[in-house]
Amino acid sequence: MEYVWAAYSVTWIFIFAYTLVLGRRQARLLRELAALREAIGKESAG
Amino acid sequence: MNDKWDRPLAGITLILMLVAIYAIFIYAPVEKTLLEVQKIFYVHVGTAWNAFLAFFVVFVASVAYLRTREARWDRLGSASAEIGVMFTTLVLITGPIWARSSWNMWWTWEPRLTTTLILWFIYVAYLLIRATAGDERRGILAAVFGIIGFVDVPIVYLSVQWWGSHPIVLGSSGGGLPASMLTALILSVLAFTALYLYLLRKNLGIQAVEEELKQLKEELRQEYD
Repeated sequence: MEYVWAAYSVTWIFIFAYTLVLGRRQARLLRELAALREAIGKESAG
Repeated sequence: MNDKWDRPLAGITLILMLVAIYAIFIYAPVEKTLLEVQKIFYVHVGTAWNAFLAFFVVFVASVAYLRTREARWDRLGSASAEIGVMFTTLVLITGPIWARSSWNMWWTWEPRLTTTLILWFIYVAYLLIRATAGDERRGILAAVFGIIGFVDVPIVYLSVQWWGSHPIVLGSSGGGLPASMLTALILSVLAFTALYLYLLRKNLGIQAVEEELKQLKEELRQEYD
């Protein structure tokens, strides 16, 4: 049974980690986009 | 990318996963020869099916990109390839765990395993091409590689019939599965397909933001030049 647990644990850890990486990547890009837009907004206002 | 479907898709994926786990561990009986370890089969086949699906999408997107040169096809190919590599990695991890417990060996250079490993290398190379090629050539190079690389997918699938040696659980020569095991397998495949769609949408959303950032930076650069 330990092999079954190993296979399912690895699968779920892998999927969880990949989803987490995607989420962090998305959050970082959105932050960068927002900062860039804010900088452009300030530039055109000033 | 419109994200109004992200939450419902995540919910459907989660529900399907829970139903699949119930079917695998409670509904489907323990196989008489391999015993509990046969349960690995459901996750192994579920991830393998989705790796094939992901690479098929890469193939279709690559053909469409070469015909139209529209960036959305390039993004679709890239997003699907990354998820395909993730699923193939899982196939290459769960396969040896199953092999070790059932046949007392982690790895053997038999055709199915070897062609699957080659498939993994092909799409890792595809991702490396995308990461290293220049902007103007990246799409075309990746699309050509995505089309040629897909040739290995039917070879992986048919390797068992052509050269034998890998266990066949499904199919006319493999004796098939009892109805309860088949139900668990179908649910597992459906759950992983929902997961694939969720991850694909998520990845496409990221690529859309990346594209927007690139365009914005380019506009700024032109403005200051």
